[in-house]
Amino acid sequence: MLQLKTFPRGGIHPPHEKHSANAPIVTGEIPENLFIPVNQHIGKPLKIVVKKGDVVQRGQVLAEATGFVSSVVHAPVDGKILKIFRFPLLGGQIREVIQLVPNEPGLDYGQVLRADKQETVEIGRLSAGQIREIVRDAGIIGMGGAGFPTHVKLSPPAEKPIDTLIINGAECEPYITADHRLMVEHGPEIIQGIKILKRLFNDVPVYIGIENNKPEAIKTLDVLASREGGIFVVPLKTKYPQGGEKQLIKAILNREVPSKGLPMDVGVVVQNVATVKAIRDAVFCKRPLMERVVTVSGNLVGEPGNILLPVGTPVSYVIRKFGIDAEKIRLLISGGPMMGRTCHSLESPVMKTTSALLFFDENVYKERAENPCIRCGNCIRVCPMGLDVALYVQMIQANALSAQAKEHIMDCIECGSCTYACPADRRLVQWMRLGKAIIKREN
Amino acid sequence: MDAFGKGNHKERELIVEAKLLIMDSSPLGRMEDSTRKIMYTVCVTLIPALLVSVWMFGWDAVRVLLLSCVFAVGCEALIARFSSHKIDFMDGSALLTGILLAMNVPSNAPWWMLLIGALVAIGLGKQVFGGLGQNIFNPALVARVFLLISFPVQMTSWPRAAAFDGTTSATPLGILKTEGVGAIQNISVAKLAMGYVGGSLGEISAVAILLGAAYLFYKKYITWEIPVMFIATVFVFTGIFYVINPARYANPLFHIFAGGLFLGAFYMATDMVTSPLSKKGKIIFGIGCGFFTALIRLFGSYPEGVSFAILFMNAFVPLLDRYFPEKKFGMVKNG
Amino acid sequence: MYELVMPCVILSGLALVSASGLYVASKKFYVYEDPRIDEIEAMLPGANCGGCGYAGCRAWAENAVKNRSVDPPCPVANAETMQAIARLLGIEATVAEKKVAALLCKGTHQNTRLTMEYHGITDCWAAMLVADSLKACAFSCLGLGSCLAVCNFDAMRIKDGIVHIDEEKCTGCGLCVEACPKNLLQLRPVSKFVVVTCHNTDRGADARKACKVACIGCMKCEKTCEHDAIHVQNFLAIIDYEKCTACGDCVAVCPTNAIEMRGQEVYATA
Repeated sequence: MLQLKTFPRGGIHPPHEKHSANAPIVTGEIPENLFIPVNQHIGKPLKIVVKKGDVVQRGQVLAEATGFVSSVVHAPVDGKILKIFRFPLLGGQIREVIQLVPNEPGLDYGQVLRADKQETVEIGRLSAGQIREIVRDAGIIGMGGAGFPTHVKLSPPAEKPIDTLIINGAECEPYITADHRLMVEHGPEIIQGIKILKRLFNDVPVYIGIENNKPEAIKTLDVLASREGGIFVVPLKTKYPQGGEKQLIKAILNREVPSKGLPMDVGVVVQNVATVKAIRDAVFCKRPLMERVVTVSGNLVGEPGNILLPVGTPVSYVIRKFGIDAEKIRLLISGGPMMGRTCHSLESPVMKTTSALLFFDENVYKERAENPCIRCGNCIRVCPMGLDVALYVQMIQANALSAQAKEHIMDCIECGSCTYACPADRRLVQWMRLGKAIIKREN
Repeated sequence: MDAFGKGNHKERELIVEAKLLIMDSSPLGRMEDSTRKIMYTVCVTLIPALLVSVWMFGWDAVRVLLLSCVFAVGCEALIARFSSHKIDFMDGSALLTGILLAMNVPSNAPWWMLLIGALVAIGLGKQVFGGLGQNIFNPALVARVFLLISFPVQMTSWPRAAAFDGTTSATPLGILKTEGVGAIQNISVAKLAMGYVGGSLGEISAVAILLGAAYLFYKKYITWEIPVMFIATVFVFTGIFYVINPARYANPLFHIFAGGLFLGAFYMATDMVTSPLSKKGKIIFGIGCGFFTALIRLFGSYPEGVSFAILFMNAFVPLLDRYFPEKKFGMVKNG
Repeated sequence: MYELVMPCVILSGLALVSASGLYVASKKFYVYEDPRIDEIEAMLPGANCGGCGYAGCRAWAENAVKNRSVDPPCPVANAETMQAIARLLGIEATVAEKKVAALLCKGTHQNTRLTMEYHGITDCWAAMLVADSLKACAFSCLGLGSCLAVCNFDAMRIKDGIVHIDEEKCTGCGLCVEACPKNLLQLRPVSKFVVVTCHNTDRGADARKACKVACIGCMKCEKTCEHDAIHVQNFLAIIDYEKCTACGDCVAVCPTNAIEMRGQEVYATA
């Protein structure tokens, strides 16, 4: 029995809570209103190219890129633009959304997807440049949650040669099962997407990292991958945050991304499985990124599941669809409990990066006052980046950052392991984020 | 910007109409542990050693223990009353200090000595530095050393175990210091380990302490570096001199089990607040403690060096934290 | 007898030697310092707040003597003090008017409403990591006191969810202005009592929905002002304090009470 690969330093074992692991992906209906956020990505803000009253079609560009590190946003359904205004988004921000009134609310979204025409594409005939253009024009961004424009990630500079591709199927956050279901149900498409990516990087070997609490996904992809050359499934020990790209690269290849560096510095490009499927859809169906699978879970959801929703669907639609008692909701998390963001409005829309919506009631959140640090060292022990968290946080609180601390604080991946392990209930990640904000302001 | 998180708590009225959603920073999950739990768990693991000392010294041990704990928690409660920031005196840290202080004094210690000890431990050893987590020196040891220097006679006449005749004598280490190796030849290591000798409540049972420490290891509240390096260094240092001149220096096994080395190595030196955070720092700290303990025992004028050695090394902890941090991820030289 | 005399002699001898050493050192290593620096430092308030831009009162005093100027002025000292210092240096002083801080927001819990229950570090910058705003208005004061924490003069307090400034105690040092992550604090000359208590650049209807006393950019104030001192940009009225005479005409015509006449004490809500 081979020992499972893992990252050597730090990590925690929160309960998995994968209640929706066996729930097949269902499609939602088109809601009455779609509130499509304009800037869902990291990079230059987009320029809106529609106005109130415009009639748009599925796949039409609503906002276009303003630079290289930028993206595109499309209309998921046919409809009419009602309003462009600032609206609370998932995660507490208040930003611009384009309100689209669909022509056919209530229609099953699966039908809309089936209506997209499929093409047989010979991957070998496409050039790398063409593929990158398709990815860029499809508005594909990192769907693991970061939202970094994929075409930029797929265009590393010449001085950073890439020798390996890693596909992130770890899904280490508790509750989330969206990627797991994608791997189980859409394995062939994921493999097709991987082959497209191989085209971009001279057929380098590809490793798909999957945590071993997803045996079905491992088996499915392993069978499919073994038929292709150069694609390998790597089962990983279930430990949070295995899905962090630096931890993934360390576990699979035993290479460490240098401090303040990127995966391309060690010759690797990492892509999330959902992003890979989106790339495949863009190439084979000419379909821009306009929808995604969202896990709906939490103790208020009677039957947790995974639902494919168009971007812009308000949370209220999900509440009605899953029969959640809205009165009881006290905590709404977009993403997982470790790195996800709390949300304050039940009308906020689903975005390209929304992997899960978790609904919790009164009993789950415990009011915590911060206690003094007792230097137990738990935070330092569990930090996957080896940071001296307790010391840095004390410096941040006193606003007395040493030069060394400033270097290392920027390496924090904000995974939350430290805060999870802190017996004194200190909000270590929030302090580290404050520290990062101070350092950025000083520069 | 001067300070963060100092917004006026009392003014922050949260007017909740209907039921608003909770917004907090990620992560929202927490492990099941708390400062209180850690402190009380450490207190509980000391029970085997306390039971042995009660068996050995009888009601006197109970008296000392109770008084010491009450005074320690009471002192902290008093200080909490007048403190501008919130002090949780029931969090178990004052209780732990009280227990450890009780284990460091003779069982016939008068009540006023325990009161002074508690005041010094909590007031001078802990709160004056800023409270929990801010002190540099181990509070129980600060108090012990203070009492030792202020009341040398009371602090060095140790009742023998009540299982025997209730008379007082010096500890085996004390005998060693004043009368030399010959006088301690008949004290077997087994006797020392099980505690059949005179000493403070904490100096008497290495086995009982190991029992408690085993649970702390299991819970990962302490790690192997400090106790193992501490005891090993004492062993090696005293061993070298024993080999050179067995007539003048006691054998290393005697040194390991005599005195408060076990209590010091497993409970005092490993105190979370006053020990280093990184693995390398802990190893150096353990070696330093062992080195100075042995140095004082062999060449100093005090028979027991554990308290002084630990306090001395406590002073170096901020330096150790600074110059021996953990290895960071990604610290590779870019070619 | 001998035991008493010898220690006295020895100690006295030591004292003599040390004193002589100190005397010699103070003469040999004497550094001339203009005595006026000490005088000026004594006249200053001594808060070392840094409001002047120098590292403390002594630094300002050194600069004043070196450059023979009272510019930049100490914002904390009153006009008489500055003039006294100017006289000491033998120069004319044109002292700028005292400035005080003003909060460009009146989004109290009554005027706007909380849209979430924030649990997190009690600091405005920390809260901004979690949400853009805690209330219905996206521009509103968070009320968590980052400004209060840096005020050296105890001139701020939080009530009803926003910051209130005591204009008697405020010295206009400006530290709070930088401490606000939403740029809601502004320094205004103390005699110009008029403040637009809003910072919302959304369209009028949206702003009004978010807060009862929001500026809706209707431009009534701009049309009424006879001194060309108030203009609407991005649906928000902005006062030019160079031209403002604090006549109060704009206050009277504002339909949403978004402009206020400020007195010495804290103000009432709409």
